[in-house]
Amino acid sequence: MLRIESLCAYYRGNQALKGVSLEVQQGEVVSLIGSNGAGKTTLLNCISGLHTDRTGEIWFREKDVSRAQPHDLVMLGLVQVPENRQLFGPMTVEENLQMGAYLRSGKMTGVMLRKEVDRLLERFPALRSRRKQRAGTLSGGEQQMVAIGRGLMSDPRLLMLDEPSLGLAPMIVQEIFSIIKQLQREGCTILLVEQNALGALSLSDRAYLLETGRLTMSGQSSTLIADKRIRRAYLGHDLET
Amino acid sequence: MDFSTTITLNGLIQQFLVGLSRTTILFIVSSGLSLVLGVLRIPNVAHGSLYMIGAFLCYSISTLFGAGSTGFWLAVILAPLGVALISLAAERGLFCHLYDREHLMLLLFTFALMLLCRDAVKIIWGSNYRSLSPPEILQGSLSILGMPFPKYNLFLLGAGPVVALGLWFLIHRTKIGKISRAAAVDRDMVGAVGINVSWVFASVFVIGCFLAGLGGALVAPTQNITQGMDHTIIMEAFLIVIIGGLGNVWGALLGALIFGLTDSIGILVWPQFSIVFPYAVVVIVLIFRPKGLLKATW
Ligand SMILES: Nc1ncnc2c1ncn2[C@@H]1O[C@H](COP(=O)(O)OP(=O)(O)OP(=O)(O)O)[C@@H](O)[C@H]1O
Ligand SMILES: [Mg+2]
Repeated sequence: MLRIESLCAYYRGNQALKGVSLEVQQGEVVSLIGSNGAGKTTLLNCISGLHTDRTGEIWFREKDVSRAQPHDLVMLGLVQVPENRQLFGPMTVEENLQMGAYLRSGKMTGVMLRKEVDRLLERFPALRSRRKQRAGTLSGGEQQMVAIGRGLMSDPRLLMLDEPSLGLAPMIVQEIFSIIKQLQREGCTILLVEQNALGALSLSDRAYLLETGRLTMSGQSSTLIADKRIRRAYLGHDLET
Repeated sequence: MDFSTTITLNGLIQQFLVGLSRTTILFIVSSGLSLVLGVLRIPNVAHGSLYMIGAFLCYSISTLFGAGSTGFWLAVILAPLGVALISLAAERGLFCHLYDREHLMLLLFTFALMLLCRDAVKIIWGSNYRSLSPPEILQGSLSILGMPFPKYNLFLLGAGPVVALGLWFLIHRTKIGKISRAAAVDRDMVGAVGINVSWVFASVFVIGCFLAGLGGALVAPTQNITQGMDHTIIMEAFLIVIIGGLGNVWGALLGALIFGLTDSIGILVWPQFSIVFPYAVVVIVLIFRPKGLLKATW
């Protein structure tokens, strides 16, 4: 579904990605783990067309999308839920969700759009009573749900989640991960970026490890979770364990 | 300097109404400026030139149709549309390539456009001033509290709320309005949810410039239509946008009210120095709220 060939990305001459190649198959949940500044967000921004200073090839659904604009990619079904949520703060929860569906709303009436929002809110009971609340006034966990919801509203084929657990309390993190699991059961294809390596590895099928702009390890999540080096560096285990 | 005796309550109310009708024009023009600034991040100095072109177009269209009432109403509709058309060409031809440039660059660019517009107006309409009378039903005055009040100003008093309501509907109830508000918050994210930002920007720019043209058309019967009317209005409009809160359309309404009213009441209180009042208020507002009265996103 998604294939990346030797992707390099730059910030004013500083190289942030140094030849990354990866693949996501239909129906898979793939996690991308790595520490601060490894280049995870940069990688997602390259895929979604937001970061343009780059070389390499990106293929999505058998199309070369290396030069595609962000909105064209969303049309194709490639949706990114950004780090820090980036909601439209002064707008209501409902309006934020509608924004996610506008690209399809040419074929949708106002009533259909409202139904679509209703359907989405079934997934997020916590948001149901907050339809008319300004998104900027929600708690972190609720904001993350709106961000995921906004992404889902455009009916994605591949959902890219950038650190959905960032800055959330452990209980809320569990809730977010269970939402991701639910999506996985429904057959969503997901590329999950996380610093919470244990959480990500325990729910994904496959995983990649990104270190200072290079993929240094990849394979089944169960294999990575058992790997000594990963356990030491990313799962917080001591040498003995 | 004994001015306490000269201010009567009736006089005050009348000046208040005059101020409100002036506010209508200021609001229409500066809400357009604010929209373009908030959503596209363009400080459009040529906005005042579009206002001037709107006024000249209103004059020409109305004389073309025989300078009667029908001519006037046609002109009030067609002149802003003409301005919108010009701005569409400017957006597609010039501005759409410049959105990523820094503000200073955009400022200089729109400044150059302003000079170009001024010369274009001079070439097309010559350097004489024009004047246009209001349509028949709006000529003359009504007596309010025993003081004469021009009917056309009453019409402006009504037009202000209509435009404000229309803008409210556009911004809060339509797709393009919601997208514009979102773009004012986070432009990249609007692209990232699958919306083609480029046509959104074009529409917002055209709507903003339409408002400049509408302001120009509506003001045409109340003053001489001259070469210099672009820079007076752009100064005022920028100040209004600044005290209201950059990019906030309702801030423009608030700013226009403050500016228009202090201007007209000032004339009553201290005629020789009336021009100082609105500027003094701007300074006071900015001392207490350096970022303007309302937030930049709305
Ligand atoms: N806008 C930018 N300008 C310059 N350098 C940047 C920019 N964004 C990121 N970088 C650099 O690129 C590298 C990768 O950053 P990136 O944000 O992709 O990391 P990340 O893996 O997402 O980290 P985190 O887990 O903290 O989100 C870092 O060294 C960072 O300093
Ligand atoms: Mg990141």
